[in-house]
Amino acid sequence: MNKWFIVFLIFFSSQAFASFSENSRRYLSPKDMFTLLNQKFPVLQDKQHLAKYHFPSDQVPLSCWGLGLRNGNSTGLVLPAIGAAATASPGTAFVRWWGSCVDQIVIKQFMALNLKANDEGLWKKFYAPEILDRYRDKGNVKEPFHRLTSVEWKDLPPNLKQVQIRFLIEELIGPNPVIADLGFAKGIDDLAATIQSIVPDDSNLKISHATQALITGVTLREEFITY
Amino acid sequence: MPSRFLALAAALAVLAACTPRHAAGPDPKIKPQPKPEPVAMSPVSYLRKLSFHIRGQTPERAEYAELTRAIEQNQVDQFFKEKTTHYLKSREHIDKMSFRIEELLHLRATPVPYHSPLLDLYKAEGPLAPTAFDEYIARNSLNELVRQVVAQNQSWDTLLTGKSYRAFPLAENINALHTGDFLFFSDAAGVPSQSQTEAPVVFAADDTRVAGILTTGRFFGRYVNTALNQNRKRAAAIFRTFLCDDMKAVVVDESGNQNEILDKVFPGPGGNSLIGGGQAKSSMPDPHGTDPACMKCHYKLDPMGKTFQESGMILAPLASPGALVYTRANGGKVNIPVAGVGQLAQAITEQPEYVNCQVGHFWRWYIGEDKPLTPVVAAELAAKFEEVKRQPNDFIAYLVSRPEFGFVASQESNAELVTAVKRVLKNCNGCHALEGVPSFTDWPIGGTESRHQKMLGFIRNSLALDGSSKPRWMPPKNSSWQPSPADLATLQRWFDMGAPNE
Repeated sequence: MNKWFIVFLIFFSSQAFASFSENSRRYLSPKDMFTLLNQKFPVLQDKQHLAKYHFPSDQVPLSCWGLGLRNGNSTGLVLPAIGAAATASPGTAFVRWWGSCVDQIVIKQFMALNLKANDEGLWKKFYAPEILDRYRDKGNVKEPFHRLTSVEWKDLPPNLKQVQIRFLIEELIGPNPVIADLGFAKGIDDLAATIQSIVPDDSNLKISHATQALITGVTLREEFITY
Repeated sequence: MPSRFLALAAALAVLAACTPRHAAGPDPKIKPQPKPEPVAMSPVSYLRKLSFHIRGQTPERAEYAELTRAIEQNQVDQFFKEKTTHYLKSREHIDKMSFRIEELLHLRATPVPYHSPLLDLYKAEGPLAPTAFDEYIARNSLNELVRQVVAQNQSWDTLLTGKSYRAFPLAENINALHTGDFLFFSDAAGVPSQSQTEAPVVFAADDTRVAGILTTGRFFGRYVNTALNQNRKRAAAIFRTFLCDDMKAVVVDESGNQNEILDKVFPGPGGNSLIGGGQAKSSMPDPHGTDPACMKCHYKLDPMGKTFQESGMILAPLASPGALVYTRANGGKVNIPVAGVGQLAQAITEQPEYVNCQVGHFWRWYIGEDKPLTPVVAAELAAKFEEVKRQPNDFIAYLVSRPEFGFVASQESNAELVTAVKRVLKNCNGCHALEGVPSFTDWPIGGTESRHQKMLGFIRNSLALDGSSKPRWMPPKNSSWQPSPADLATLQRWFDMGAPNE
């Protein structure tokens, strides 16, 4: 993950005006962050994928699924001692925490996806129906979508690339009017073009890996953490 | 890595391209700028905002499809009415309200959603593991009471005057300093002081005791009492949370010499030498009673603190007399003697300041503090709060149906902006009034337009909002109030619009 890219996205957007303050436009509250991550990434509801500790392991660390002293300041939690957040708006600590956590959660989510290879409902959260239909292996009941981990992004027809990117934006943020009203991008076309640049058209990444990169890109956008 | 340098260079380029507002030098005149017309957001955006505000998450894709159908069938209003009701019944809404109350009371946040199976992971084990205290703060009488009020849409007053809640024990392996609800209970109250399981606490309607926020282990544990403090900390929290009277220390230590404060607290020939060895309380039975600066707050805090005096055990049958004392904004005095915490809680809910304060909390939560609550709108909201019998979900449903909720952000009327500006400037009065400076919130400041303009220039200059390179020099660094970036942005926006009056 390119950390400078995240910094660029979040802090140098000319229209960034939301803050941890409870304004008519605001960033997610610390509690909202975890509620939203739970909604978008079901892996966070599965205890077997979660670590009880903060340090790196093969599970999602505690600071990425539970609110506490380790992430309170960076997420804008109101500090009991002063009755206010440590910072009025997201700082570098937030960017580091959010970027790192999203990265790990997305990876763990796709590992979990492979463990639930025939849970179509779960796959539908991350792939457009057109993609699932195209790459469905009807003869393989246990792993009907295994081709998504072997076919490369460059081999996906351009129109399906667009379909997948738009699907992810709509799934994670919302439809075109939402993107337009939030005002960071002109609309879903504009945002899709930005997100598409994360994975080059001729990339050798497998579709599943490319999708992970795209999801990470969308979740790092201000639109994802603003309402 | 080259990519890092590239990105850094790009970022710096953007920074360089961002010209400061007044880089060309200070603008001596305040020129009004045209204000854009309010723009209503699209129904799709409204749905997302509604979902986030109430539940903290986005709508599902199917809900957007439902909205599209509702638009086609011209049933948008009905759709949003049903959707609001649905969201207000969600577990996420209940959790979010519980979190908001934790913030209001300056409590440590619950680590994971209340109903989450992840709570099982919160067992003390190993030096870096989360502690059982995390589990306790998710399962305790205070949070349970808030959830009960929200889930059942009970009167908001129940938070203060409730007659029942569930008490929770603390998990095993807990640090002795952190104890569950039961430590604070008295056997005499009919509630066991030790229990390994959850237990209901119920008082009859004619019992003077209450099972509200003020009588929970969590509230007592957060605002601990000492012989010197004499429950004033609890009183200050109650004033702040339920009457929006946020008291700050009036003794500003400008010299860096702490002795000034100590001398105020412990007056007398010996000064602060009286401190130590636990003799302070006996030496100074009423240490604040002589200093007018201290008494500006202590005349309110002391009588309220007394209602907790006999309540070492929060549900003890013995009531301790005290009083609800404060001064209204119009100068009217309130002095209501109460027999104990139960009567105090009841008296608070009967005050108009309580209603206005709670309405203000809801406004900030659902509309936003950048949309100032004008007196006219505040009166409307207070009336509605009463009309819906102070039931939180009904009031929230009303708030999200108001036009302020559905407009694209940053649109505000002059009246709203002026209210916000006065809210910021009010903080300056505390010190400057003592120096004979006219009130910053009575316009025109100083009584004439020329003095008003002169003062505006002073404010703009002292807060470094005039585009000059001079740093901000007011309020002084040792002032107990400092403007937030949002406060400064509000003033800047007002100056940019020509500093309009209402």
